[in-house]
Amino acid sequence: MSVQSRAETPLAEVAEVWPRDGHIRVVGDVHGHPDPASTRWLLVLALRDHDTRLRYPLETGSAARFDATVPLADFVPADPAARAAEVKWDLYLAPEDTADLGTAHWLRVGRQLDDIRGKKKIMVFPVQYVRTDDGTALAVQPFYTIKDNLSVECAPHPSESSGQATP
Amino acid sequence: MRIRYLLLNAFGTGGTIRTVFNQANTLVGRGNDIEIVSVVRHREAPVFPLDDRVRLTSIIDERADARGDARGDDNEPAPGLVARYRSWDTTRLKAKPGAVVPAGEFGAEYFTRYVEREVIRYLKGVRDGILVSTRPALNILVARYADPGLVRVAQEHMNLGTHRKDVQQAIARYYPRFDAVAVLTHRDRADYEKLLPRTRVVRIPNAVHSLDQVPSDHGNKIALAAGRLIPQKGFDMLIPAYKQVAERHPDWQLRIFGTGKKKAELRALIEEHHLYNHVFLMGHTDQMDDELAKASFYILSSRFEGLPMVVIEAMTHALPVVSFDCPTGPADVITDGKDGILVPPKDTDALAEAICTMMADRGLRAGMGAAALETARGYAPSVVHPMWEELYAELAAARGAVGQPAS
Repeated sequence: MSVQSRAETPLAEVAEVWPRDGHIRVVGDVHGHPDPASTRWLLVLALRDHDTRLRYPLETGSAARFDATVPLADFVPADPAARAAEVKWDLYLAPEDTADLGTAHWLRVGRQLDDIRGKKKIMVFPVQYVRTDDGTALAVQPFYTIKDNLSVECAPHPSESSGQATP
Repeated sequence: MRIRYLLLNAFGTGGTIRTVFNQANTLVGRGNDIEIVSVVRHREAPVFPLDDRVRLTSIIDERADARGDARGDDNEPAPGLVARYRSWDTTRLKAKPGAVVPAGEFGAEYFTRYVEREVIRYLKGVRDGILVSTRPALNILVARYADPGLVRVAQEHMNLGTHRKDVQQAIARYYPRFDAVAVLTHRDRADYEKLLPRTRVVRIPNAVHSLDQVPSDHGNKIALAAGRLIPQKGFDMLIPAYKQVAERHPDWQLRIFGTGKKKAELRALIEEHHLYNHVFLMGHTDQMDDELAKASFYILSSRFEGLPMVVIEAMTHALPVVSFDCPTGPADVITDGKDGILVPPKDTDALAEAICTMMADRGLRAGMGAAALETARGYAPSVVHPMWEELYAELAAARGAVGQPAS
């Protein structure tokens, strides 16, 4: 009895997530795409409910593997007003020629092919803390959504009230 | 035969509950009259499957308490003086630790003076049949307060050495009142016979619920462990041990099934050792058979056990087992090198090494898995449950008629 199913449509399947040492690294494989190895891929962070998109060109690896590392500071919203409440970044893999198009053209990064349902409560990742230039402390944590897709939350540090960062 | 099983909580998820249900299901199917009496009840239906013909009753229904609170509207007449006194007395007794159950009993916190009083009241009303109690606290209450005219059997689901000193003293003092004391392993039987030289001690292992299971093909890179997330199960040793494993076999994962008080601490250990891509706290599943069939071997990291049933259930899926040789159970079930690998208790390096040996060799898993399936046959319901029936029938015959009111 195999626990791995086949991809019906192209998808970016997470193998490992490494939230450590001030970065979040995501390793995975593109499934169901006709020619993943000769496509130039970008990792796109899409700020949920905003227009903000951050794009990271990925090394063209062998076969379908992708390996992306993002420093924690990048998950802090550029607009200081947006830091007072939690924000969520949804992760996508985009072929280079579609990088300026919308999320409908990209592959949502997630973990769909194994047999574990309800990853949100099972595959839980550590939180890391980052301090912005203005002294605000924020908590950054990758998480699986209820649809088993990978997102990253950036929220005010629980022990520091918003707008009153300690010097 | 009329047989009553006394459980602390028939609505929980422990191994004792499951094995008692299995016994009840088989014995009721063989024409016996079976009742399971749960000291407490906090939910509507039990977690484990129970034959409709088995009567399930409770002594203290905590659901009723909850409803009573919700009912307290303005239309309710004010309770009378007697009712108010009773309510005050109950509250007082609930706050007092028990006077009968030794403080060292692992379930002592549940046996308040109120619970003890209710159990004793219940026991005084039992007049016929065979009474089987299933943990030291209940065994001691039954030995002291149940009608000596009843056939009484004490089941022990933990090994003797596990019990604290005050519990062992109470066992030595009160268990000779039982017609028989039933233990799970040969090693434990020898220990009890030493402590209770004039008492009949029998070894009857627990039975698995079924031998008709989907076997593992040993191809998925999944190791499985299961148990409540409590110190006894040793997951706090397994997780650090798995760090060495993940470095050597990064394409494997460890799935730990179960819930419990130590979840946050275990999660912290996973984070500390950066194992969040390899070790998963899966929570509760009601499809354990499917989960076992998907795994390639089973790991037992307990500090102590009685007879770990989940190990034998894993073996019914042709899973070999890597286990600490803790007291008691693993050595009774597993033959090292044949159907599994036994390592010295609490030796986490040896545990990691044995896990790696298993991961490195699918042929080894398949061979040991086939032997494990063979071992599991000795724990089939059809092998084990007649042993209970024979014991009860023999004890009843020794006393004279059963099913008649005790004189």
